[in-house]
Amino acid sequence: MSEENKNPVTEKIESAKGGHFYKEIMKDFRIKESLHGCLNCGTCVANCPAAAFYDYSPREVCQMMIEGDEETIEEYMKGKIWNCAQCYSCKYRCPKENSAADIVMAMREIAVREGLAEEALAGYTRIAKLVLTRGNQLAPDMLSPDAFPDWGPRMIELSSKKMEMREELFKGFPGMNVVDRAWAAEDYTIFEMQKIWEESGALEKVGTVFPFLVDIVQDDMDDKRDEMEVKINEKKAKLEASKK
Amino acid sequence: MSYEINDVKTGINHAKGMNYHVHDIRAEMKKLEEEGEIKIGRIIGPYKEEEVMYGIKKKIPLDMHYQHKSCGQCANLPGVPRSNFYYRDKLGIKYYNDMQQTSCTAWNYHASGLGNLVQLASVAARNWHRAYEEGYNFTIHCVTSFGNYLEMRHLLVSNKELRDAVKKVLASLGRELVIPEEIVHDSEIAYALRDKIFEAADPKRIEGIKRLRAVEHYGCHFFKQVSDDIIGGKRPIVVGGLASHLGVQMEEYSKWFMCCGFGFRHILVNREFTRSAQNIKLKAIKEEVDPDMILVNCTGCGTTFDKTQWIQKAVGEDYHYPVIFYSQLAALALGAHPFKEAGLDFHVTPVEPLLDKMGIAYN
Ligand code: SF4
Ligand code: SF4
Repeated sequence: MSEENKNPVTEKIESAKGGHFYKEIMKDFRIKESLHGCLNCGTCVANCPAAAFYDYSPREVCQMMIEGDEETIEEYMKGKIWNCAQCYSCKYRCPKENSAADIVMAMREIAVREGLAEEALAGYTRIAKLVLTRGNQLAPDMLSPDAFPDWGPRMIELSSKKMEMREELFKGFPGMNVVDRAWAAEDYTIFEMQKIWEESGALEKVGTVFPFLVDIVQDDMDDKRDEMEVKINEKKAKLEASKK
Repeated sequence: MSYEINDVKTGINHAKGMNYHVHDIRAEMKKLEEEGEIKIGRIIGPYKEEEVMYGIKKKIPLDMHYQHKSCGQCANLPGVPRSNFYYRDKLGIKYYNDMQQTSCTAWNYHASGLGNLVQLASVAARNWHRAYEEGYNFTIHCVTSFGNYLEMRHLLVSNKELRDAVKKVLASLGRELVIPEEIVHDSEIAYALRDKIFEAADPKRIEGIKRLRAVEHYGCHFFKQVSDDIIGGKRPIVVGGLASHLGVQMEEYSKWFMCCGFGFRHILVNREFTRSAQNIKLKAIKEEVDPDMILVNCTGCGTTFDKTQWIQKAVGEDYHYPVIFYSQLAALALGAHPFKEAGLDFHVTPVEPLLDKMGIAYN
């Protein structure tokens, strides 16, 4: 961190305050950019959709971090952080350019790492699996009308003829008309994605919530590893050659 | 109240007096390139300059478009990517629909906290590198991806630790860190091409478009997550700008700024929140404007507005505003079949009344 990047607010509070969660959150380098003192003006709250419907406040998020108020931080870690819509309205409007949105994001990461996210992520398995095995986050076959009854009668109508309609729509666009993923990403591409999750430590973190998913991904990777690593090595050699 | 696009460009002029506050990511990138820290993937072919915050010029590439797709659109609103391809075909723009790309995974990240910054930035950089090695300009269909890539660019430029970690991951894939010169959303491209789209449009379709009144809604991650790199200054203008250029009468409503209620996780596991937020927005739209359609540029917002109107009957409201993406409007102007080429039949809020008003046959 260069001199000019130092943030007097976070530098000061960092050294003075305690508490396990507080210290973990402060390790995230985004916090320095997200807290510049707080006027307690409530502008963020007035623009926050989560504050409109839940016992939740972006002002409180900033205040608790400035105060190092471990009790309130814990309350947020154990549940309230999941109310945030991640809309960044707070960041956009705050006169001090604070970002409760980014602080909450850092906290969600820690909640997952420390095994506090199980309840919040119940019902999230299919998406996590799709990301890790297909390289996509959504697929046409996930949008069944029984999962979304509140989306109305046209959803039911659509589900019966959706695939035919897609075929017509994507005539002449190979790779677009698929059912179990958003587009037909190649196996090699999916392997690269899995490798990113593995190398970055993100896959290990998935194991705290969905241990079985880690096994699935690792089996999947092992099945193709030899073949894929040959391709990657060719790529590495090509990159080296281009540097010379 | 209808308005002219120039009225909302105030953010640019306002910021011009605030030199002390200018954050020029382009200058920082150049410096890092000189130091050998990163490579910049420069714009290929013709481009048009548009003003962003502080009067900085953003280069919008006009040809050779790498199509970085949206998983939400492809799965749920497939008429949007199809329209993106359609307007390029009509204007003779070369594009590349690559099957070696992945989702940006930012929807997952913001909803669940699964993943981490090294993972998120490496996924971004791997997709950027695909466009670079194929010789195309990286362009983005999804607003979640757009906001994420703006943020990843910022974090990669400002933090050496993250940069080094990402470079290591990329090296294990035989790739290198090449940050695109510009992070460009498809709606910015359609806006930059507005003259060309108008010139190539079917005059009959334009006649129909001129009968329409609309409101616009922008994805929060289009302009709030990183708010200094969007055309128009602090408040976005590209969707309304394109639409009014084609003849739509754009109308103002008081809740334009408010989040649509998508919430990344709420749309999946807590739709009471989504519906409640929607009700506030839709109520203002109905009482203040009662338009023919709601224009959008974001996957999540388009889904939320389209899917959450019917259920409002439960609280005694009757909303029926067709939700149209900027590129679907462009495709319609250029003569696209509303269903077979613009995919409007995938929307669950009926679009037929809108097509009737425009005089477009759909059966
Ligand atoms: S808008 Fe900013 S300064 Fe005002 S209360 Fe919220 S965080 Fe504090
Ligand atoms: S990002 Fe979260 S805290 Fe900030 S305004 Fe949106 S919902 Fe509120």
